[in-house]
Amino acid sequence: MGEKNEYRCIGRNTPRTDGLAKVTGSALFSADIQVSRCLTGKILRSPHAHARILSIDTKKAEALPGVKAVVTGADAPVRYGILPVSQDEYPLAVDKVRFIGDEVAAVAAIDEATALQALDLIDVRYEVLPAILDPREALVRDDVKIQERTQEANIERRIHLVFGDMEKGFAEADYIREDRFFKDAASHAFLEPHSALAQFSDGKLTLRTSTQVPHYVQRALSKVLGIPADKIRVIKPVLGGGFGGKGEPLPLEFAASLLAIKSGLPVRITHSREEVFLTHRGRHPVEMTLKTGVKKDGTITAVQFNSLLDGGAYGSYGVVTMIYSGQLLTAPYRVPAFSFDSARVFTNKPPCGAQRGHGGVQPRFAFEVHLDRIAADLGLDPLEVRYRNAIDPNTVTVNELRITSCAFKECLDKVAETVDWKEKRGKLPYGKGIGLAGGFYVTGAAYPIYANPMPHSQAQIRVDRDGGVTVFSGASDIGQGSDTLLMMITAEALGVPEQSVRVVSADTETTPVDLGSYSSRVTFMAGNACRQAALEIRDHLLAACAAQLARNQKTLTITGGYLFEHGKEEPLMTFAEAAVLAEAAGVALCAMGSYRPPELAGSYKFGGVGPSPAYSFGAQTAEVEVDTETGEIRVTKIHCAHDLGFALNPLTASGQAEGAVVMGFGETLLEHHAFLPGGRHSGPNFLDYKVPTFLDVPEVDVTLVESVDPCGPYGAKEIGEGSLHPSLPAIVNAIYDAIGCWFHELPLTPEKVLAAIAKKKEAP
Amino acid sequence: MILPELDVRTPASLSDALQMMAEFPGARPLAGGTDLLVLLKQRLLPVGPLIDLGRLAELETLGTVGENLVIGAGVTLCEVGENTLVRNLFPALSEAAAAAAGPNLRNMGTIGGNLCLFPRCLYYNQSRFWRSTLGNCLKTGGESCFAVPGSLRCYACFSADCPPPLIALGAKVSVARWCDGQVGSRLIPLEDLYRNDGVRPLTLNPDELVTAIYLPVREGLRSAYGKYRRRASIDFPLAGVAVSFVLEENRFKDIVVVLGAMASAPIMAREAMTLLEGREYGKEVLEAAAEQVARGTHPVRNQPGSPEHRRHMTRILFRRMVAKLVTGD
Amino acid sequence: MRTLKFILNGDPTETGVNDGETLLEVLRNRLGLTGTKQGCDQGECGSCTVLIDGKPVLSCLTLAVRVENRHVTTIEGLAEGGKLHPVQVSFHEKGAIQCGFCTPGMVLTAKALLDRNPHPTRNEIKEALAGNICRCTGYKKIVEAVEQAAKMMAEKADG
Repeated sequence: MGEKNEYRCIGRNTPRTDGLAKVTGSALFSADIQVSRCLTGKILRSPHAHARILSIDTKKAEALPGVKAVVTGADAPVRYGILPVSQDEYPLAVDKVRFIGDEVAAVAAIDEATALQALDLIDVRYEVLPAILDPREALVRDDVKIQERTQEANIERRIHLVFGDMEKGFAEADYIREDRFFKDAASHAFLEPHSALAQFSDGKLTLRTSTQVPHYVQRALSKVLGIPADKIRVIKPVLGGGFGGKGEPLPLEFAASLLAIKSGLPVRITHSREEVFLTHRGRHPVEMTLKTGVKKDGTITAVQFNSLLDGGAYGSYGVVTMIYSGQLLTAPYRVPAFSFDSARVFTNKPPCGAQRGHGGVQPRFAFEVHLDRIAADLGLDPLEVRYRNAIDPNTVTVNELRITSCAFKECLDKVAETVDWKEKRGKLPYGKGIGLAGGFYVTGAAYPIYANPMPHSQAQIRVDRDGGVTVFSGASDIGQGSDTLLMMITAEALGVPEQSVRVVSADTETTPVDLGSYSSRVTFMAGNACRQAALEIRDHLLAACAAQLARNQKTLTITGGYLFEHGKEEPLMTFAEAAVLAEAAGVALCAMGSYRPPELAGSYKFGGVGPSPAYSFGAQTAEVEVDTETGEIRVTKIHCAHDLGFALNPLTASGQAEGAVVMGFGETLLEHHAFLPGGRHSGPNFLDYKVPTFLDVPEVDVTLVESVDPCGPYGAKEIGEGSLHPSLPAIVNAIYDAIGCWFHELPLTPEKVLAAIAKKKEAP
Repeated sequence: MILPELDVRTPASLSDALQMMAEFPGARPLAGGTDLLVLLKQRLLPVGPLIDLGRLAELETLGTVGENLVIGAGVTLCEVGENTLVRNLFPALSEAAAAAAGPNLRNMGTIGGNLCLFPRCLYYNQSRFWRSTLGNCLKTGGESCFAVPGSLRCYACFSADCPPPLIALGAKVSVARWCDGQVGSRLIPLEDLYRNDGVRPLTLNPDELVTAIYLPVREGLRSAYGKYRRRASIDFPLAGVAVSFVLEENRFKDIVVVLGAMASAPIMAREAMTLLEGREYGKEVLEAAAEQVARGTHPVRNQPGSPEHRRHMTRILFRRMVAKLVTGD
Repeated sequence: MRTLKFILNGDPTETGVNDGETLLEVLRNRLGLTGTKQGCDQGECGSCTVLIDGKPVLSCLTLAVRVENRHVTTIEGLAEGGKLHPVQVSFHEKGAIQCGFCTPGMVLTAKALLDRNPHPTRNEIKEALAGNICRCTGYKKIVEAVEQAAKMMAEKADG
């Protein structure tokens, strides 16, 4: 990377623009922003998994000295939800609570102790209702309705799609295999707990909140509070990790706003770590069955997939999760016929939503293990089976996903070579193994969450008289480094040094709309918008200079912060002087750029969910050691090769993949968002929810593979999510190689490993 | 999660501290605070005056006195884990201290605090809100046990790492209190500090303090501590096994095996000890003893992971440790 | 309420505190030093790590009254005279920062490690940092950053 780099800024390891602020402690996260007279807000939560609220009496709480406001569901009985099809949440419960931790009321007081005392004084009477915790029960139980809007039992939505000729596909198969899989819930476990600071004055609401989606938060606030969007300003301060868990409007944002409006004072609500776990919106538990037909050589002829998603108490992103679970199985392997049946049900547990790798993680785990099983059944090399079915660039999948750039085969080659696949697979001593898996993921969704014909991302760039360049973008840097990328892209496109570019982002009042940090869309979409704006401003500048200097515009260029004339070594002037020249000539040195994906929807219902303007591809190998006496698994190494189109910033790109691989490792072996009978979270803390430590993680080795996407900014695609997908199945497949046992349920525990070994001994 | 209002007293000397303990009803000693403050934040303890032991030089001694290695109760787990004397004489203790919690907590937590760690339970070590969804358990003054439904006693799990090796190494602790206008102290075998009751785990009187640990130095003593947990750091033990013995002509002498995280107190694996005492080292006898180790445990479902597996791990840890202590690999 | 006197980032500091306040709360709420982060508030993540008399400890489980007369170093006090500490420089340069929430605690823990062990092995680095959780990086670049910082410090000491 970077050796044959034709670019001046991009393609080079570039430290983050906010890195120095973060190492000196001056970076201000939401909870760090200090305003005078700020009240502390606290939320009263439901102790019941399912109950009707008979009455709420807040009088005593209101009377407590130091309490400035108390709000309940009655203060804003307006439904909202991230998806237009799932408007099923209230800021605070109205009539019913649906999980232990559901938000019931909120108070703002002069300090935390007073606020907590006030919560105790709120008298809520409940009529406890039967709780449904098992998704299978939710599927059939009609007498208990968690969400009143469900028609059949507690099924939020079903989907049934068929692509290609399934009958023919299975008829042509030499071998058919069917398996059942289960992937349990995981949690984002970002380090910064949610925090929202609301201020209301002169009829205007300002909310500084730890969100990945300021634009959607602004829209939802407007709807729920009945305040026009132009009177609502949402700012995302420095954000401490999201991974999807801050990707939708959340109750604390409404509660803080309502309390600020009611009290007339600033109100901050910061979640405790326990509240973070209860708010959840993490990985759905998914039960899956797969039936696949193959030719003798492993060529896939048909795939049938069924999934049941345990959604928890609310809709959240769940309908998209459900559709993705099937839609994202038609690559990176050619599948001539594909069908899927999925359902998402409500249960009385914290709502599930989007988590890194959204929708694809569970089915990818299932399919890659299923594929290895087929290879084993047929005596084929799993690498060869993958290679045989691997898709090529510029193809259309059976469900009409338009694949353009694709270096999947290169990724397979790369990991197989690095790990010495041919020499090692099946040849390591008992207890040691290597495994392989592939994957792919969207680079942003082709359609916005609410249907509209506008751009998905806009950027505005302004050049100042001193040559300084300011980028205004709605994009949310949530730690992935998007501000840094926008700086690099702008500098590259404009021909100025990176130091002269600053990025102002994620403030609905000062920055144009970007839909937010989700579905790996920011580099691609905000990057394209930014590049367009930069190129346009460059054009204006060159035209003005050409006119002023009586030169042909085509002979002028800007590089490294100087204006050059072709063929001359000495610059004509500095970029700043050129800017002054242009401005004096009456040229406004600002420009807007925007990006909207082309029309890519499939020609069928739900065909808008799944398509993306570009897809990333990847392959990983895992090396494991199984202690066959204790059941403990040590993953020693994971190789990850990921086709990210073009590595705009290899330093942050590799960092994304390293983090994703470790997150995938964690939810394979350690992390379990589990519930005790009755719907209580088994351990809403960092002791019981086991995020891997330095001493647990495998050595991770990332190779950035470049396919140069035709539509990405300088050819770039996503890396932060797709690089999680193969980690889980690569580990599971490696365990099979080590001990000859298959695992169809995650997370794995030493107990499960020992049980499998014992079972195999009984009936080998 | 804020703390309740506290009253922290800072004694200038150990005798001051003991006087305060005697004087204020409900007083609690504050050592490293790594366990106590979490319990207070979770509103698991009644709030009484906290007697800050943090600056008492008397509690921070570490060195040999006569035949003993004496470790003050205020010595941090980090110091115990890194101390060369401890490492050379009592590797089991060194290993246990270094395996407790995470590194920065070990800079705070003391060995005395570790001895007095409150037994833990999935249903107990939770926030006030979490517990309010369920009602009180035996340990919080209620009448039911959620971990072992129907139980009349609390099975909270003994989760400290240092006591099992200390007991295996023959440790005695000095327990001091203020009586009749002066410091009075008694020396008890460490195992007598515990009563295997999740609600009242320690035999200490409310005004008593553990002040020091006495470890008899013994030539040729071999010892080790094995800890099973899911993560390699931070986690409490799901099983802890400590073993010490002298090997004479390849025969076990004075072997002591103590298990942590299997009950509400450290427990001796007496059957295994009897089986091995005086016996020559061999694979079969070791396997038989390991079987006894596991058989003597009765963990319950109050920690992550299954009780069966935690039992199983005592067997494996024990067998591997002893084999390594004898053969070196 | 009592008066607490201690040395904060080299400066004598005096503030009123209640007995039940943690050092983390006093730093953030009373003294405005928000560089120290509250990640879990019960000693399980390491985000709130500060140095007391040079040792990394968790400020969420340290009563403020206990730092009377002690030296407390927070992330704001690490750079001397505006010059970044080598650990800060290498975290920045090596991409060891993503969201940055664990960074202050991580940097301070690493700094304390290098003070007592200037040439740590890779494993010693992991051991020393194993109580600090990072969710973004997968840890690889943090280890590399600490290695580079050790090198920078060694070169500085030599030169």
